[in-house]
Amino acid sequence: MNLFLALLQRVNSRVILKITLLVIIEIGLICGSFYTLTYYQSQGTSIGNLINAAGKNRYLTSNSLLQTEKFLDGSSNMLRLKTASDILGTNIQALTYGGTISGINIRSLPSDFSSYLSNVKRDFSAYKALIDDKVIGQSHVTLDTPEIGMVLKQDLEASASNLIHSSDILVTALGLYADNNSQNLIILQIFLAVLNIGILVLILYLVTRILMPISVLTQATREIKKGNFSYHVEHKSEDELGELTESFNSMIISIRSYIEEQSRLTHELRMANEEILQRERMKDEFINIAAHEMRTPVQPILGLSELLKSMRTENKAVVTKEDEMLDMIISNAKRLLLIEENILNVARIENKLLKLNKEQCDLLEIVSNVIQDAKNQIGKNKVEVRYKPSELRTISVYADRAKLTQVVFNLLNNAIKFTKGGSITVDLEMDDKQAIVSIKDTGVGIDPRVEPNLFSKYITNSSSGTGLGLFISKTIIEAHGGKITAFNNIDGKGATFRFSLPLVDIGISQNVERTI
Amino acid sequence: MAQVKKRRILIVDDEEDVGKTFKMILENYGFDVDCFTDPIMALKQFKPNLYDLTILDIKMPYPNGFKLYNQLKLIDSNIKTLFITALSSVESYNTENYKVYPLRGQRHYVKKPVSKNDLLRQVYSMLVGQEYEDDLLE
Repeated sequence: MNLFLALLQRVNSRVILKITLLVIIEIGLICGSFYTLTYYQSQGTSIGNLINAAGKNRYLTSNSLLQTEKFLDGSSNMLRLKTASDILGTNIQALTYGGTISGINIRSLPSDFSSYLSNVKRDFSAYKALIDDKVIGQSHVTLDTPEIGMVLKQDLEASASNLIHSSDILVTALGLYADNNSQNLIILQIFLAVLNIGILVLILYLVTRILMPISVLTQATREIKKGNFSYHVEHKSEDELGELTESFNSMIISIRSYIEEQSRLTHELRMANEEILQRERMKDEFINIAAHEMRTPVQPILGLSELLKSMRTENKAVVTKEDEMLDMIISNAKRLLLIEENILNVARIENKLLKLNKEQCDLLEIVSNVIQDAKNQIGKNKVEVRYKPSELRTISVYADRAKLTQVVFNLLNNAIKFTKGGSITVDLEMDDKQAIVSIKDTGVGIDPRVEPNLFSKYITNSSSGTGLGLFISKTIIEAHGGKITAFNNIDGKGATFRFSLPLVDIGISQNVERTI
Repeated sequence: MAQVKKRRILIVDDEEDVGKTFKMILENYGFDVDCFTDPIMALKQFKPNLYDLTILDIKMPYPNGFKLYNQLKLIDSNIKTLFITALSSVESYNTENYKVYPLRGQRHYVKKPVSKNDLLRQVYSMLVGQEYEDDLLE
């Protein structure tokens, strides 16, 4: 028992303790019921045995009387007579003190029956005394006297009859008692059955109550899984399920507040992001409008300067200072447009709006035009441009003419800017699959610090320039399915920029507008 | 220049100086040019077979270049039109006004500002149906 208690103390769970306690109560109840029923049953059995023993008195008395009479008639001997009376005596003895008769254990008669028993004993004493004094104690001669024998027989019969009678009364009393007892036993059985079932139901109810929070918590987790964080589990108990419920509830509260905090932060972020996007849109719109508005006045400047120039050269063969001035106006107007175009293109690339209007165009012509337009810049920087594409008549590519022009312009302009007094070699090559344009200069070369991000936005290695040209060029060339690279020349003088364009475009049959 | 027959061109652009510039350039190369800043006025005097080519600005107060084109097309179904837009992306017109006038696949537009040579190249190619050659103009 101590060991059991020690074991219980070591089990650090109130739920297990509670359930164990209930199980112990139930086991105790069942054992108690079993014991009670067994006891009552054994009680019934021993009463039965007593009835049996008491009932035997009648037969034994009759037998003793018969033996006595036979003895008196001379047809039996003394031993049989004595034996018969002794067996009767032993039987009564057993009824009084308990004992074993014919292998059956007999308890002493309960005290309730002592008055009946004393009657039996009294009658037996009388009967025994009669036999001992009048039969065994007398000589054979006396007994042979018929008169005496007759009287003695009558006395003996009367005494035996008394004994039988009192024994029968005892048997009847015992029978009544046994009957009563068995009725009580039935009632007790019913009572115990009901009690057991009741307690069992009660225990089941208590176990359910103890374990109820588990199903409630399971339901709660289901709700939480669905996103219902306002769930609250109502349960209070001193055991760990109560503790579990409590921590579960506080867990929900923490999760809820965490989620609320998160959604608040998300909202704030979204608002901040929205604001940034709004500003971004406004900036883009501003750039767009500014750039477009600037284009319109450039049209007359450019168009009229060009017209004026051609009108002058038509009439004269000599190039004058005024012609040079016109060239400068034209060249700068074009530069202005291209710089503007660069800014617009960055805005388009960032908004994923850059589209290609592809058409069949001559790369040779594009490059030639750009070099032609850059003459003013070339002269100003005292750069020598070597360009001899004589062996090629045309390089037909399927591309966006304006954007390709821009790429060549950007690369050439960069080369001119960083090559004062040197030379620039523009080369065009062509094989089955692609056309390659390379622009090699003898300028300052690419700053190694800038090189890794050369084609990124706003990267420039001079104080002037937007740093957008190479970024745009790369985007445009890649959108055409080509490649652009840059490296410092092996001889250590200047850098080479080159780009390739595929000659065959899958979308050649139709005007494919690609969104970059 | 001598090879090219004298042709008549209608220019409609709400920016007076821009229209005038085009007019001056084209006149210098032997074209007969009428120039309007008001699309309604241009429409009023428009007659079938009067012009070989119209050059229309797309972005105008009312009606815009596309709508004007539709009107002109009703009067002269054979009229050739070159669109000019200050908006750098004609594509934006494509998406917005696709149903009014699908420019997709249509190559007859130039971006403003357009250089003299580009303008002439377009005009020649549309009128003569052949590529313009630079040395003609020099």
